[in-house]
This record gives sequence, structure tokens and C-alpha cells, in this order.
Amino acid sequence: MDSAAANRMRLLGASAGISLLATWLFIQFSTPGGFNAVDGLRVVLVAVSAFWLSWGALLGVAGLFYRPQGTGHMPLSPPLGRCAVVVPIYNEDPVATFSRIAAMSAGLSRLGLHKQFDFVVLSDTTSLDVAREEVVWFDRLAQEAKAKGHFFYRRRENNTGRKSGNIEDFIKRSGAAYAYAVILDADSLMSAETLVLLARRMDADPRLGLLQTVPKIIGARTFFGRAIQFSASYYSSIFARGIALVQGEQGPFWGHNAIVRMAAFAGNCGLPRLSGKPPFGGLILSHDYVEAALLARAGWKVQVDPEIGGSFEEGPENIIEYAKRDRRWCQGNLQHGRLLGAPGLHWWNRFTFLQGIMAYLGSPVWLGFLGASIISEAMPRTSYITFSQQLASSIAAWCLVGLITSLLVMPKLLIIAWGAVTGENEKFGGTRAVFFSAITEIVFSSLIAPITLLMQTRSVFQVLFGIDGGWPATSRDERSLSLKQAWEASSWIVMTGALVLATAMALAPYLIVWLLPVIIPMGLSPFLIAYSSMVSDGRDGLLLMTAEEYSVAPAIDARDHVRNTWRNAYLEQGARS
Amino acid sequence: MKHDLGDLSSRPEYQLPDAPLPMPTQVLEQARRRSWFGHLRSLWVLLAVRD
Repeated sequence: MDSAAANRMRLLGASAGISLLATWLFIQFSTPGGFNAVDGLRVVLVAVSAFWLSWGALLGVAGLFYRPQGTGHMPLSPPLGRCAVVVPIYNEDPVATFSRIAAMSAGLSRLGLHKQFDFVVLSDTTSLDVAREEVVWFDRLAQEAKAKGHFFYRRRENNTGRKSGNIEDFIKRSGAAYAYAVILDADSLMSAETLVLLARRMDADPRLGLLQTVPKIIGARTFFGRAIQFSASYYSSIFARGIALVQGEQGPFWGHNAIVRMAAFAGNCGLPRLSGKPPFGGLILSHDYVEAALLARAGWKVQVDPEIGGSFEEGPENIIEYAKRDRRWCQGNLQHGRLLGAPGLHWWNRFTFLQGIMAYLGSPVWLGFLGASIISEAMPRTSYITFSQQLASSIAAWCLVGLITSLLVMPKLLIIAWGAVTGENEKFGGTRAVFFSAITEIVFSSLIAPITLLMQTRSVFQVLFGIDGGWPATSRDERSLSLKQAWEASSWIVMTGALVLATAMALAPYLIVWLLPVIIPMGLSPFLIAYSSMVSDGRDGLLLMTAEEYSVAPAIDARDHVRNTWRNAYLEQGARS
Repeated sequence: MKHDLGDLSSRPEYQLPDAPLPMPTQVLEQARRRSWFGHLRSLWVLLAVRD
């Protein structure tokens, strides 16, 4: 058995063991006084939740003890293969998108390696106003760049197949001109050194079909955005090392900030339309996981390398934008249920599909557990419970609470401790700053957890009842929300909280104390959504600062310079006309 | 801000290289298997024909 297979078995076994422990504790807690059918359901829900919670936590812990070998830096020499840097766009802000491309191109020119890279903008923009702006700013981008003749633009009138169809169209027209393609999103940014490194890694390993980087979130301005940004920046590399530990040759693809081997991708990643209607049939929404599985099926290596830096993206700035993106991902992941039995897939890719499905089904599972707990408390029990039974039940309950809390919080605390020992925390302003940022992020994410729980549960039921969410355009620049907007988006959450409270008061008043951490955030959801969307620099208190803010990458500086220059020129021209 | 917009399709230097690469559609669904009802129906027809 190779090391990845052994590591998979170890982590899966440990997750199963922790799940069994949690299940046993729950049975000890709930058995005194009688055990009914609802308790049986709760046991199943606890077992399922605990397994996936453990799996996530153990990936983080395992990542602390693992560092991929042999992935180090390579000489920055011209890659052997010609590389297309592909940027699919859909009604984005052209200045923001093309200033990133300008920064990447300038970096390659500085290295003298621009001749092997073409930037290809694939527009599916439907708004004619935005399309006109794309033309203007693309022309400016191409004229100002030192790398003349390395910029291409194509706009489709019909966005057949959405993003995956957009890329497929490009490959069918021009794929044979390139050995590799770096696939980016409109908000992606990569340093020139990283672009070259990715291509050189493909040169060095002829079996490598796809290499995924771990992008760091940058540019967050709101409190919500900065919390997500800090969490991604500080923890993601460690969790990604855990993923790398078990990936073998069947690693992940997250749809962007990755390089693919053109021939491998073209030969194996043509996606079919699934039979039946959306949301489970039709176009495959979350195509990236499927493409990774198809490459692995054909024998290509698919891997993530957490040690590659210089890869950036931007994230949602408020809970509503986060929920919109999550709705799309929910539908895409649940649709993967159709592919669990797809022919020829490696079992690890099937497990990855299942993992994605459970990431969303986990919310209704937790909600179901809460609901079943309220109902169970209202059901008749054995009238007499001995003192020792009650004591044992209480001890089991507290042990279970401790176990679940540990799974949620311990990996993060261990990463902070590891950062203190290795000096990694200095990049984030020191251990004290990291500790306060981590506590802030943990408290905030605990507060909004019931909100996201309900939003995800609603998304799951929308998908299961056949309501197609489609692919709404991401408002990348929308930040602050008014209380009115927050109320319109979350009044149903407030009412759900009130309903839970009323039900608990009627059926199980002694459970209310345990339910308050869920009910209170539901009741306050409009305020949490609105106030967390306010712009917050964080620099005054050094809270939630990331390594990328302390030490700004040249690519980010270059992007900012171009964007500001273009925006000032636009404003001046507007003032004159 | 208004621009006199030239269509980028008239700028050959921005056109994608003409280098087609086939991208065959992959198989992700098993061929449709007969349901138990389909088998029962076939058995019924067979028995009816025999009679």
C-alpha cells in the first residue's frame, strides 16, 4: 500500500473511531429514562455529523506534521511548453480584471519570460455596456503592455455551458497552440514567478495533468470579508497540507489558480449534459471536481501543492454574497450525487464527491438533530431515573460537548501553537496578534454559524425540490449592506428563530439554555449581516491582519498601481467630456 | 463616458490562434438498466405469447 493510501486509511479510521466515541457518549447521555425512535434518529445524526467533523479536524491536525517533499523552487528559466493564461469573465468590472492581467504580464516581462505566455480573455459578458467597456480596457491593456502580441480576446454571444463551456470553446478553437493552460477567475492574481514555476513543474513531470495552488484571499475591506480572509490566509495552508497528505494522484481541482496540461484536459474533460432536468440533470455546475476525477480516471496525476505561494483571489465581502456563491456550490455539489456511480472513477474521487455533498447535507443534519432533540424531550419517559444514571448521563453529555468543541476549535489552537514554535506567526504580526485575531474569528464564525446553517439548509431543500438556482453573477465589488437589505434577506431567519424558541418553550423548556447559542444569533441576524458588512480596515487594532498585508507581494502592488492609474484616467476623461 | 467602439473582431492581432484541438464528450452515466417493472412486463408479455 503506498503512503497516500495508508494515510487515507489512517485518517478515515481515526474519523470513524471518533464518530463511534461520540455516538457512544450520546447513547450514554440519552438512554436513561428510556430510548425511543427519535433518540435512534438522533444517534444516527450524531454519528454522521461527528464523522465529517472529525475528518475535517484531522486534516488540519495532520497538516501540521506533513510537508510535501521535492516541490521546492525551480530555476526561473523559460518553460518548454507554451502556456495560455486563461481568464473567463462574465459581466465583471473590466478595470479590476484587466489591471490584474496587466500586473501579471508586467511581471513576466520583468523576468524576460513573457514570450512563452499568452493572456487569453474569454468573455461571456451579456451586458452590452460592460462588453463595450471590456473592448476599451482590453485595448488599453494590450497597447500598454511590453509583451506585444500576447493578448487575445474572444466574446461569445451565447454562453453555452457557462464557464466550462467557455473554456471548452477556447480549447476547441485554439487548444493545439498551447502545451499548458493556467486557468484563472476574474478576481485571480498570480505572481510572475508562480506562473513560470507552474509551467516548469509541468515540464518536469510528464504525468502531471493538473497542479492546483492554494490561493490566498486578498483585498477584503469589510469585517466579514476580513474574517474570511484571515481564516483562509492563516489556516488554509495547513489544511491544504492535510489534503496533500492523502491526495495520492487524485488531488483536488478548485476551478481556478491551477495549471492544466492542454492535451490531457482536452482529451479527458469534455463534460456531458446529464440526463434529466436541473438541478440534478443538465449542465454540470461544479465542473472542477468532475474534471479532476476524469483526469485521474485517465491516469493523469492531479495534485495540490500548498508550498507554492504567489497565488491570490478575492472573496465575498458580506454574508449575502457568500450565501449566493454557496447556493451555487450547494447545487453543484449535490448534483455530484448523480456521479457517485459514474463508470471508471477512482474511489478517492467518489469519496471527494461524497465529502462535498456532506459539506452541505451537514447543515440539515445538525438542524434535524436540534429539532429531534426538542421533540425527544417532549416525549414520555420512564418516570424514575436513579441519581447515578443521571450523573452518568450528565458526564456523558459534557464529554460529548467537550469532544465536539475540541473538534471545532482544537485544530485552530494547535495551528497557533505551531506558528509560535516555528515563527510563522511573525508573518501575521506575532503570536499575540494572531491569538486575538483567531479568537475574534472563532467568536464571529460561531455567531454566524446558525445563519449559515439555515441558509445552507434552505439551499439544500431548494435543490432537493428541484428549484434551479443557476449561476447568478457575483457582485464582486458590492460590500456594505444596509439594515433594510439585511432584513429583507434574513427576516425568515428571525422568524425561524422565534419559532424554535416558541416550540422549545412549549415542548422542552429545559432545553432553551442549550438552544440560546443558536436562537440568539438567529434573532440578531439582520444586525449581524449588516454590521459585519461595514468597511473595517482593522489596521488600527492590528486585528485580522494577514501575512499578505504585512508584506505586500509585488504583483499586488503592481495591480494596485495599474488599477489606480486607469481609474484616475477614466475620471479625468469623464470630467473633460 | 462614451467611446467610439471598434469591434475587437476587426483587430486580427487579438484573435485567438487558429489551432483546433478536439475535446470529446466523456461518458459519466451508465447505460440505462431495465427497471424491475420492465422485467415484469417482459415476463408478462412472454407468458401471454406462450398462452
